Amino acid sequence: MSTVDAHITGTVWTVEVSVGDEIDEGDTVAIIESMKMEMPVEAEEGGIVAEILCASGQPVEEGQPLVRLA
Amino acid sequence: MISETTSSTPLEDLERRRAEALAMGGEERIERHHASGRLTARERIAALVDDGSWREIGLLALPELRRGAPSPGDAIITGLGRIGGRKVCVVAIDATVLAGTTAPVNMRKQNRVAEWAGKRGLPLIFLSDNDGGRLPDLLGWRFSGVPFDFRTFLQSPEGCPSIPRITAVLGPSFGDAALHAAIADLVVMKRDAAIALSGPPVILGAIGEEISNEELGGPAVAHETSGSAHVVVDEEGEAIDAVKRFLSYLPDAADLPAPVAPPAEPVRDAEELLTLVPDHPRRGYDMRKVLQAIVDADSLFEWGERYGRSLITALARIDGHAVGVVASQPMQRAGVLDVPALTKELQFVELCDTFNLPLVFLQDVPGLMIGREAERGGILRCYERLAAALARATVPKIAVVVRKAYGGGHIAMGGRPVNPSLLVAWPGAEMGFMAPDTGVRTVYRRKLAEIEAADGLDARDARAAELEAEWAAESQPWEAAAHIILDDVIDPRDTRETIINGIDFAWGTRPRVSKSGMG
Repeated sequence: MSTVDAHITGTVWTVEVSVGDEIDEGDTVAIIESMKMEMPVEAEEGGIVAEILCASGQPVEEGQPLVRLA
Repeated sequence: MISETTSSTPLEDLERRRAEALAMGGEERIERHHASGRLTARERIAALVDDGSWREIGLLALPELRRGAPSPGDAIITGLGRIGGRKVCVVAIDATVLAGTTAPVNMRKQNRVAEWAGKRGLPLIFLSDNDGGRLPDLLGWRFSGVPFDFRTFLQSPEGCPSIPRITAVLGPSFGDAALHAAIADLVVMKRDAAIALSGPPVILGAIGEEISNEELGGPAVAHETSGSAHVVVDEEGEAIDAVKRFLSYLPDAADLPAPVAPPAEPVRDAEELLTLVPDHPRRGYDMRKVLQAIVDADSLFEWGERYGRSLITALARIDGHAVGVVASQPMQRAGVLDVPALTKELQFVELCDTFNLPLVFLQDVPGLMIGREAERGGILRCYERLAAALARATVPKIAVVVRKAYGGGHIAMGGRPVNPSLLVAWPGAEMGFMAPDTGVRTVYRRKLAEIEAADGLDARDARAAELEAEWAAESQPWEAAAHIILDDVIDPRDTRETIINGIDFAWGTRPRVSKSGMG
């Protein structure tokens, strides 16, 4: 069981995956807006999306889990 | 405890004394040391140097002030060895003896080996794990008379070229050991170690601050906030590997060319360079992936990864030749150059220029950080000192504008005023004094306000968009190339070849040695 975490503090702009999606390492799971930039958050490993832990517009801290993988 | 009188022969006496020295702090202390998850200094040296290559200096040393407890070597092990055949000097603190504390004989041993390294042009490696200065050995007048000579301990003696200095912080390190680490070219620390001027007990007594080793000088401080430690590892074996790996990029001394390894193709195909960098200027991406399509496979060694994270500084190889990479990291703070990033870059540039490593810049930089925090941190001085050091550096400097190159950020990464050997851009580059949107809003502030007052917000935005488009056209690489400010605009897929060739021709026929660090 692993999570994909925010690598930067900012605001979730979009969530690019849904529960049940099968994703590969390097796939973009969400985009965070920070410092006027859109920062894609990529999965460091593949898996099935088990839970979405954030929503568009939500402020997140660096290290905060955004998506849980099964 | 060393017995002073014996009836044995001199040779037997030598053997007994050697055995006592090699036993370090004794079985019980070694067991406690192991139980705390640490290897002994002798085990560390065995992991570091080639089998059979160790030649100890000062094995039979003892403290000036003798105690009941075993104190072989005066808590420090110093000597000469080889790493992959290369000669090195080693100082290893023995924390099983008097908690690895420093005292006069101990210092003389350290200074002797450090001076040896500096005089003869040999890398100097510290394996650190100590509790600071020893009392009462350093009390009162004694401290002022400590037998360190900083002309030969903290630097190569006058007239002798600089040598690589590497420190592995393998246990809590306070006082001398921490201070000396601060000038090392590489500091690698174990995650549960700490590095600080004074340890928690002294701090509590002196200023009443209660703080743990970790809060005081653990990786979150040393690696991420102060930048004192460049690499963090979980195991001692990884620390030793990092020391050896770092050394593999560097010459034995500043007057020698950097070692060359067999070339290797990058792990990513050059075709990926066409898609790894998004066209949309506000989209972040991981510059490490771009580097993986440019440098030799598995050759990237990040230096200070979590300090000044908007900038990647890394050793790498290109076609087998060691280089220093300075690359924007748009994934962190949009790649802006703030005080930590500039501070890190200055240190890294000096390291590379000293040890004859060409500098390769990959620019995607929105500028220097501005605002309250940046000014309080001294960004003006950080930037100007860096610009001067870059201009002074005589190693080949190859700069590639990958996407954005604005303001002082461009210059701080190999722009024309710091005299790059070669300055090229990818075709999608945008360059200028400031980004078009910010520039238009600043320069036309009053005019845009008038339009808004007369014709409304839409009219204002339309005019701003027109002006931004004009500015953006001026920011494309074509005029910069037309005025030969850019030497060329290149196909991104040719980046590696451009760098290889640029470095080769920048050295020309001259010896591959810079002027810096020559003593």
